[in-house]
Amino acid sequence: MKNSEKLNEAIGNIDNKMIEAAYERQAEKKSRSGVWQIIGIAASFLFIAAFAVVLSRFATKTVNPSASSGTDTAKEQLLYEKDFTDHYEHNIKFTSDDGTLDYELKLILPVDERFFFKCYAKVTNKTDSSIQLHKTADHNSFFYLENILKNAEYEQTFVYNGNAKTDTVSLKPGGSYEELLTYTDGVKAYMKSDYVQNVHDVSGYLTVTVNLDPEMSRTWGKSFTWFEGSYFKNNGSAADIVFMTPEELTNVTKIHVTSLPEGYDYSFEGEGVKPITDYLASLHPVSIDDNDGYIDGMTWVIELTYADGTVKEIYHIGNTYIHKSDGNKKYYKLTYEEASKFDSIIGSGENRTEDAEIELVYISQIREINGYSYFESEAEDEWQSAVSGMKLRDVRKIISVAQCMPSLLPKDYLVLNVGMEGSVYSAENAHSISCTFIDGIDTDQDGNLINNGTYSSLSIFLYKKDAYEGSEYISKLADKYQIKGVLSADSIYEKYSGSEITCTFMIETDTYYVLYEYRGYEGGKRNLSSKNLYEIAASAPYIKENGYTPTEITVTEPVTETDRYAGLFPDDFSFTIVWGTYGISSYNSKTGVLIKSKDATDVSRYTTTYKASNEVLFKIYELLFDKIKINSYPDEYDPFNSPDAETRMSSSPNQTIIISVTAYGEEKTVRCENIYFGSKGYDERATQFLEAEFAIVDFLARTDEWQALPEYEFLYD
Amino acid sequence: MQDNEIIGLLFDRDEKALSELGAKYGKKLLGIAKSMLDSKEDAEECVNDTYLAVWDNIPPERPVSLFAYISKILKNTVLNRLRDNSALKRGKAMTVCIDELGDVLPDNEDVFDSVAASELSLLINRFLSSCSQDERDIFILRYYGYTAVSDIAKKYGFTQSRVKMTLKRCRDKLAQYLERNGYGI
Repeated sequence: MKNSEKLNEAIGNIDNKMIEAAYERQAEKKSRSGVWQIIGIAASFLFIAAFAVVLSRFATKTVNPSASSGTDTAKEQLLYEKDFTDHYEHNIKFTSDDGTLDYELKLILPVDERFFFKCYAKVTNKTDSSIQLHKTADHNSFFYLENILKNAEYEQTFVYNGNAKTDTVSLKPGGSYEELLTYTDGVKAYMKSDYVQNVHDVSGYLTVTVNLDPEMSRTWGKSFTWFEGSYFKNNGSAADIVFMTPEELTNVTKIHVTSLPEGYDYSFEGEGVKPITDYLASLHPVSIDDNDGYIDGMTWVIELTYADGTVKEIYHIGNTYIHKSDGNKKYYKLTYEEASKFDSIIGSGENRTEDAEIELVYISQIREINGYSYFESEAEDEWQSAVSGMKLRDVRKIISVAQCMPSLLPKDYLVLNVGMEGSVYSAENAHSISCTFIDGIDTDQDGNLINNGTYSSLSIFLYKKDAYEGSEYISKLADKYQIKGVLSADSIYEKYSGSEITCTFMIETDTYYVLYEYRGYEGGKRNLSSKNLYEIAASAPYIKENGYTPTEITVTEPVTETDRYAGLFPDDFSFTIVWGTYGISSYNSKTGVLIKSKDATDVSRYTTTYKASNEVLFKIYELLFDKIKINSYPDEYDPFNSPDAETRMSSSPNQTIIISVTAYGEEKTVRCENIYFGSKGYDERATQFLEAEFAIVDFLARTDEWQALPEYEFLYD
Repeated sequence: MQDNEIIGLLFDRDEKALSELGAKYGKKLLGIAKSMLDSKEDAEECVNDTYLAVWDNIPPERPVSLFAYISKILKNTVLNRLRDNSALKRGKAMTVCIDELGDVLPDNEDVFDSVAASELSLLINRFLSSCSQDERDIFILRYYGYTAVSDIAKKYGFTQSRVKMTLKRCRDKLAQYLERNGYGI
């Protein structure tokens, strides 16, 4: 038999779960899910909001038209160009206070909701005729321009698709501007913006209404987003932030709490609603100016159902409490302490029913950077990130620095930002990596931009000298920072699937910041390679002259897994689980012995050792003790038959489940022997028990150790 | 009908199980069989034989992944027939896939001569475990299910070029993997 035929036969016996997964998988979503779409839309407004904030700084200054000077030779540096068929352009010119610098800004904003835009900033130094050119591709980068633009004065033209002119933006002190444009072809556009001043907490807050055609009223926005990912979208004016009166908190019969980003889903009924309504009633309105707190935590959507069936919805966003409803709108903002109470109420609700599936997932994504931890979870095929226990400013400085504020980096850093399609698979020990989520782009078969999506982004901080010396340093740095998986553009390609990748390379120097983007196929001319990387760095004049800075980077020692989970669960925690129908299986976390089939002809062939990490033990401890409260189950338990049932569910064959746990010196065993073969219990608690058991078994069956064991004897061979 | 319900019917010896099985997986199974055999009639016969094998084996067996279980029976049924009956012709799709697997290791030397089929399967399982999900799923649809590249692209929402490139990379990686494990040329 030929080698290929033997391979073909061997492939016929690959793991069943892999086959099932491949056939069950559905087509990738072409568009983002609702939440991300809204966030993406909101994000586009953030940019405008940020822009408006910058403009507002100039609002009180005298507007002095200035003429730009210099040549356009710097444009040749642009490596990426994309024109939108339907877009706005902002062309802004201004001169610095001391008159030595001329600035020209060109902003390109798409008309549709797609989040992608360009921004070019050309800075001309009148004294030495030098020109610097800046280009940004996401709203966060604009903050860098904000630094450049401070104390300058400006004039602005506004162009729609190049066929119309212009108007002067009317800026109002206090944070809003209005703009009414009449174009040469008769199209009118009206824009109004309101925004929150404290941009350090709120990344954007904007109401923009654009009426491009008197017959077509198009409304944008009324959305704002916090940097930690939560968002709020209202349907009214910009002042729709209100609070709930105590009167509105009576006669509530049911409360449904979900989270944004999605992931948590709780229901409270009867007495269970009281802690929440008490909490809501105890809040005291304060002026926004009195609150200097930070946004921290996810958004809770609280749906109140009243006795008469009416439903009201509240958005509890970080430390801001918002009532989304009609009529009598008042502004309300929580204190930091107040806001933190709600999570604990949700977490300790005795009467809650948890609708979310109990699921044991690989939680290897908990990260720690400079003492702050954050985590990532997987939902809707996208990676989501949230931050816990951090002040938002710290998040921006530490985790998302590559995305939002290059200028905050120490000056001897460069930033390599590599964006790619798909998920980050093996970015462990990522204390030098930031995984952020930015709106990206998608391409059709010809490589044209057709859609925006969300792609993960991985940032590696590099020394100037690293980039200067070329690709080898990237590998060394990866070792130094214990970055696994991503070493260079080439290895990125190896590690991450997908033939189309977008690579972005940002260089920040003391005086400017340049962003390069590459998109292409392996071997393509525009694909980022190690050679490209070196050439880019070497061709940057500043780096070429000053790139070799032999300063050691201070790197925080990575936190060990033991330290990370210290105190989160008892030191003596261990568990054993026995399960199965034919071929009973078992696992003992203390000994690590994992047996696939105790009934095999040769059991040793079906026995292996799997040492559960602290991370896994912690997750299982949470599952057994926090989620299902295993101590509350009887020692002898039949999840399919209520003790009061007149008839009993049974099956042949039956199954056995035995879970034993040890924690804080106490032992507990729940024995379910010869029970019905099924997955849904006779009540919710029974089902939760079965789901927990399934989650653990499913997890164990996915380990490499289990996968390496042979197929069951009694299955088809 | 859910898989566990079909299995329940089989355990109850209810012949409705076979009609439900056919309704749920018949098209997929016939697709695999037709890609492996030149004759549509032979393919249908193999699928019917597969249903009988399922009836005979469940119970006592209770597969966790029903489709994977029955598709393996089907594939082995077809392969056994091809082996036992030289008059039968291999399907074009399967032939193309096997040709593609020739990339992994050339057929001019039988490097698997002394390798047990189970060991090779184990190696491939491990290799696929190390692949990304995209790679793994595309590989399985192509070389397990003999699915056309265009159909894979359509199913997963990828471009055909991406599917082809992923397959090429998988084959290359598999060749390297096998070589590292002592099965290179």
